Formats: sequence, structure tokens, C-alpha cells
Amino acid sequence: MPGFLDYFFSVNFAIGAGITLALTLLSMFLGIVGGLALALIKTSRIRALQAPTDLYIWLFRGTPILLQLIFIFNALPQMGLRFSAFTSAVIALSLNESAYMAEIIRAGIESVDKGQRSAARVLGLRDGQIMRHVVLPQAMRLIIPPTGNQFIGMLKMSALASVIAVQDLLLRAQRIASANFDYIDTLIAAAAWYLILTTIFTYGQRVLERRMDVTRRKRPEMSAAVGEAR
Amino acid sequence: MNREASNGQLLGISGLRKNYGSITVLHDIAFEQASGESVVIVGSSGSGKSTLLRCIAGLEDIDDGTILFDGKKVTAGKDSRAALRGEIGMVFQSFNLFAHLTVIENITLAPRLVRDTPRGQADERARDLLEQVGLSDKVHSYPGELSGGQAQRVAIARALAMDPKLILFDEATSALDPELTKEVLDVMQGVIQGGMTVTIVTHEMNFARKAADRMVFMEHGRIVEQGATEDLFTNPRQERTARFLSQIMA
Repeated sequence: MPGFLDYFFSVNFAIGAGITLALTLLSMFLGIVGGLALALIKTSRIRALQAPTDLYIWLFRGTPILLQLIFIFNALPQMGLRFSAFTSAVIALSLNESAYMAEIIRAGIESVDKGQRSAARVLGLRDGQIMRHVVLPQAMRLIIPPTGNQFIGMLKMSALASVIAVQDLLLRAQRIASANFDYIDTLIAAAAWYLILTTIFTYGQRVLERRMDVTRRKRPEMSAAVGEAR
Repeated sequence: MNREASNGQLLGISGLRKNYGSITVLHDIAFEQASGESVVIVGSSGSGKSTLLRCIAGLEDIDDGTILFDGKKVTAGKDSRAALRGEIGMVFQSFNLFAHLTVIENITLAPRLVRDTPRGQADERARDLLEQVGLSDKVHSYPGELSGGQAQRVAIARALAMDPKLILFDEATSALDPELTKEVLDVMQGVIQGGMTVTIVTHEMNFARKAADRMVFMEHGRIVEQGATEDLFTNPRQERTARFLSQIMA
């Protein structure tokens, strides 16, 4: 009977972890791109797109991700749209993630002082340049911490894909568990893989946060400033 | 002062009206400024001085009238900003330096993005300007590491880097401690002496008297009186101007 370490180091589990990681990274990437697009619309003055964007966010935040997943995998084929299990999972997870990322990025953009935009406008920068070179880099400080949380959440949420038979870490663990009737060692091995991945993400998040720290540097204390003027 | 101020009109405003909701904050503003002229706008808080500057800078939509700058119409629209390409500079009360960029990056960002100035050339110019404002040692500092006076001097250098035809100063020293005000006013004085056309909103009356060719007094969103600075100080025609000046100089 194989033990916890045998499962943990097995090719089967490693591939499962790889699929989980791929699912997470792809869905997060697309979720961030989609969320950025939605956030840019929400913070823009394009009136016609406000209502559809609100509707999208309302819909995807207001229904269970599991329902969305099953809908894309099972209901869409009935309308003639068929995707593989993995693709279905990526679509569902990234559509859902976009709605959350939109709110995170919007909050970050709105946290940047209006004066920054005024200064950039007067200097002649175009709207796109202002967003790219002035607003977004400063919004990152507020966007990164919750995005790190979203990454970790996504890693765990991706396990839902096992219900539509994506061969991810959890599905593989469950299959071996029932084949060997060893739920304890297999599930602990899977948990260990999840923990390793979330720990790496957490570390990456901290490194990024530290690199974004420049805008947090405080102005020297008043006494120092006065001393300098003398 | 006493400089040639007759090389043509640079800024012409007529019939300007600006509303915030149902409140009119600027009424029928008529104002002209010649190239090379330094004008100071004074008035109590809420008189519309800063709003007027923001309209000239193209940061505010206007509800009526026209603003003509160098023959081009100024609006808050994209096309207007593209046409101006940074020809009107502005220095803000709250500095508004880009917090995530170093001092030199703050100064070179717009020349590089808007004017396609090559990096080396933009850097060289930025260093010259920093020397001019006395901050050669702060090239690679971040705004958060500067005192208010230093930050405002960087903001002035940033405005100058675009070689604007006009610089608007919106209460540039109001957020500063008195100890730091002088260093900024000195730099502003230097900019004026260098021949730059400036429109200054300030409460520093001694500076206004010393540095401005012309003075505009505003109250409740209207221009009450405008004329040569010294005339307004010594011989105001409007009683309201006299009252304001005596209050603020007291």
C-alpha cells in the first residue's frame, strides 16, 4: 500500500498539480485582462458601456461559480457551443474572475489622487498615456495585495473544475483515493501540493508589494524639512 | 517688470461663464494677456481665481464664452489638449508630482511622451532645469523624499521642461510653511525674469507687487478691477479692491 510520500511524489499528482497551476495562471491572466478592461470602462466617461458592464459584474458576482462552470460545460453545448472540460473551466473561472478584478482595479484607479491626472493632462499626455504611465503604476500599490488574495483563491477555486472532469490535482487524488480506498494519504498529499503552490504565491505577492513600495515613502518629518531650510 | 510686453496677445478670454451644477462660479470673464507679461490674480477664497486658471489650462469645461490661446481655442476636450501639446504649463498648490517617478523622471516624462524628445536630450535638459531651481542633488529622489518647497521647485522645473508659452501658478506657495515659501517665490521670480509669460494666483501680496506687471482683482466669480499692479495698489478705482487690499496687507 503506497503512503503519503509515494502519492506526493507520484507523476500522477505532479501532473495534477501542473494542470491546477495552468488552470489558475491562465484564468487569472484572462481574469486580470478582462477586469482591467471592465475597470477602464467603469472609470471612463463612455456612458453607453456603463450599464452592460454593471450587468456583467452583477451577473457573475451574483451567481455561484459552480453554476457558471456547469452552465458553460453542459448548457452551452445544447446551444451548439462545445468546449473541452479544461477550456470550459478556463472560460468560467476567468469570466467570474473578471467581475471581481474589475472592482479591485477600479478601486485602485480611483485611489490615485485626481491632481496626478490634472498634472499629466496639462503636460499634454493623452488619456491612454495618463492611464499607462501615471495612474495604473500608482494604482498597483492598492491592486496588488487583493490580487494576490485572488490568486490564492483561484488556486483553490480551480478545484471546482474537477466536477466537469478536468484532470486536476483534486480529481486525480479522489480517483486514486477511491481506487486504493485510501482517502487519508491521498487527500493529505493533494493538500500538501496546494499548500506549496499557495505558499509560493504568497511569497511572490510579498516580493511584488515590496517592489511597489516607492510611493509609500513618506515626506520627511516637519522638523527635518524646517532644519533643511535654515 | 518693465519688460517689453507688446509682442502680441497670447491669451484672450471673452464672455467666459462657468457653472458647477446650478451655481455660477465665473461670470462674464474678459481677460487678455500679452506674451511676456506677468499677471497676478488676487481675491479672497472662493472668488473663482483657481477655477479661472483651470479653465485656461483646459482642465474644466466652460459653459459659455471663449478662451483663445495663441490663436487656438481652449476647451477641456481631447482635441484641444492634443492641439496645445503642453504649451500651457501649470504649477499646482498640491505640487502633484508623479509619486511613483523620480525627480528626473517627473521632468522628462512629458517631453519624451508628448514631444518625442530622445531620452539623453530630455535628461540633459532636466539636469539643467534642476540646477536652475537649485536641486541638482535631488535628481534621483522620489517626491515623497522632498520637502514641500523642493517638491514645488521640481514641479516648476517639470513645467519649464515643456517650454510652454504660458505658465499658470495656482497658489503655488499656499501649502508651504512660511520658511519654505521664499525659496519657491525666488524660483518663480527667476522664471519671470527669464521672460516667461505667467499668470499667478497668489495670496503673497508683496511678491505680487514686486513681480507682476498687471494685477486682476476678483470677487464672487467676477473680475472687479484690473490694471497695472502699482496703480491697483496705490490707486484702486473700486472700493471693493481697496477694501480687499487693505485687509490682506494689514
